[in-house]
Amino acid sequence: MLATIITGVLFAALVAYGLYRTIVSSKNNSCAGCSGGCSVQQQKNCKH
Amino acid sequence: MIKIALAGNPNSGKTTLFNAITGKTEYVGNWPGVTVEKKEANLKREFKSYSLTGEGHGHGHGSQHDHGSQHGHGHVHGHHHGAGERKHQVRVVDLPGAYSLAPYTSEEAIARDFVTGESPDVLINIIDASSLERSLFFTTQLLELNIPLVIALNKQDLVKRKGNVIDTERLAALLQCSIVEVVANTGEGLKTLTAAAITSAGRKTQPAPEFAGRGSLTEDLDRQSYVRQLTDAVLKRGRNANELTVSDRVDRIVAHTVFGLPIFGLIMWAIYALSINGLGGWASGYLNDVLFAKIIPNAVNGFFERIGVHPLLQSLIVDGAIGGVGAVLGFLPLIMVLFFLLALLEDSGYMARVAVVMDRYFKRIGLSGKSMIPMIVGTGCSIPGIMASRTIEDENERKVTIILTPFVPCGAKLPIIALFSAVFFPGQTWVFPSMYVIAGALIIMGGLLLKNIFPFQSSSTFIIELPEYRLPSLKHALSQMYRQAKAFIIKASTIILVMNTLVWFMQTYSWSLHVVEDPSASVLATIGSIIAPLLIPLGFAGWQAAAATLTGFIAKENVVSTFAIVLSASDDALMSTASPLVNLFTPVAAFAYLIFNLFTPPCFAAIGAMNAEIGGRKWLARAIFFQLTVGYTLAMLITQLGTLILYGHLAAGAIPAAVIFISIIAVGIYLIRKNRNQSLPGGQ
Repeated sequence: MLATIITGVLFAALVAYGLYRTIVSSKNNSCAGCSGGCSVQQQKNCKH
Repeated sequence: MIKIALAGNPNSGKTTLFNAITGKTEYVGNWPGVTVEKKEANLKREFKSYSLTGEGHGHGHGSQHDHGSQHGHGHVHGHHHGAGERKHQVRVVDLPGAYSLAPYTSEEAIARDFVTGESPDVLINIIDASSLERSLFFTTQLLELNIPLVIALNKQDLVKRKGNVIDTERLAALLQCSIVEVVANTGEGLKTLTAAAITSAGRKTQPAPEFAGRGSLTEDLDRQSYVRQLTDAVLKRGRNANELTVSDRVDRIVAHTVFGLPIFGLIMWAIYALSINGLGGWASGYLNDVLFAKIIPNAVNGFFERIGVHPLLQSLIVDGAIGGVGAVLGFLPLIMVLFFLLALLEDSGYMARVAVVMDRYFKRIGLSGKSMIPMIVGTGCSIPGIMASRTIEDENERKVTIILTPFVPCGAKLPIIALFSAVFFPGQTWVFPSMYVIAGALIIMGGLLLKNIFPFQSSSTFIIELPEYRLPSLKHALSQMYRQAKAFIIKASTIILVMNTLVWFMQTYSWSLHVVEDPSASVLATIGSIIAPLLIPLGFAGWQAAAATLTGFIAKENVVSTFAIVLSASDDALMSTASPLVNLFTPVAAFAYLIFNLFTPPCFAAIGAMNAEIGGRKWLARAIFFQLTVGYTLAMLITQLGTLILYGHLAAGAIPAAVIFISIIAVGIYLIRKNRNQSLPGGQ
């Protein structure tokens, strides 16, 4: 049971981090790992 | 904090220098217009701690060697002060290339706005020494800004190859600024350059060049004349400028009116054949068949069974996360080799010639060779490709380029091609290059259609400064390969992992959150089944194909990982000729599925970039509608005609396909006529 909880928490943290990176990148018109996205100027007013 | 701005003409080596002194790995290409936005980073520690010891304060001539650099580099010529500012944080800003402070394109305006509006403490003006006269025009304008300026004289190797000599000492005296000879590619002279820039930052002022006519209406002509005199005074030419160089001779063949395109096709085919059949293909085979199919799943399963992890969580991690991510990561070596070879080709200077070759074809569809540059950049990722369209001045041409650039198969689409190629067309090297040939044909036909459907007329003239051919840098190619590999791994471990987890949940649970025995009763199957009927005329049976296509709009690699999860196939089984995929597609439908996923709208991030660059939601909607129609129609035609020709019978959904095709043609004709009527005098 303990092994399941610890493994589950670790995996959930990994997925949550992936989701966070994805959301942050999508706000900059990009995706995690993709090059490009908003320019420095655009980032201030990025709508995405 | 000291802020150093890197300014100079396009393709003078700013980003190469930026990467070298900051440790970044920004995209570098051997053609003008690669950098379209400013980039910032801190100066690397090793450059901050280097100082111009032994120098006196005040104006004067002096020199300092870079430790470890070759003779002839690392000298400071001209005006500089002593060290003393290096304790501060040093921020470096890489600006897009510009020929003048009077901007012609939007990225030139970024460079102008920064140097005039944000007052950097010091400017490093990177000069392509092999094009001294052209570079000095911009230099004289920068010198008038009263911002301390240090010149980085780059590409001296090309000057020497031409048999020319530049009197750097004299040039520094005439311009009243420090000049450091550098080779940005190898790092020679960079420590001296940054030390000179840091010390110059404390000077606060910069004498402007004096020439007759400054401030008059004919200033540009007078400046050009002054620059010519400067060049004549410091440049000793070793040979007649009209003499043909090796680059000129090679260009007569590779940029030839007739042979240019077939040569390009042959080179690209060779690159893809080498990537697939060589080291990349072999290593990808190992990862798919052994590492992600046996070693890792067996080890993780064994470990989880030993520590007693719940079987459902074990299935989520092994079948969902490792299975899905592994299916994508398995193609990493293939992609690395491919981008290594493309970087070598690009660094040689050849890709700029491709833009020239394509110009004559693009002109016929209202575009120009300028549109080719975003498309070449788009082979890596559509997002920087879409952004590279900023170099196009004509608004309509830029819009059409943004719509057509995502047709170029980007790195994320390569795993889909590799998977379908391995299962349905094993050992056939034509599949990869054929996708690029189809992309090229779609771009030409798409351009023609857009020109006729939407009222636009491009007025662009294509002028490109062709870089000299050079031996490609291994370091550059390895750096580009590393950059692509890093992006691929980050993507696999973030967005693809998240999507795989979601896909696993959606195909394991029903809407009432019960674990389902049969995946066809799952949430994913229900959603897939809603879309599946729309895909019948395309020959794609089952909810799995629809689900994979849907996840592909989040990130194209998800198509592969979703199939790995929903078909419950290990990586080696999924890639084999006995793959469960053969139950979903005939070879013709498989080819159509490839086309559909490659040539319909790109992933959501690229759509976001399109939205930012295309100029309005109306044009974004037009772009998505156009891309979806093109991909859908082509996939449908391939399935319907291919099945009839190759298998001798009608494909499923032949009647709806005929109705859809006729409707699309009717709408197309209506839009073309409407556009023509509007174009006529007196038209509405």
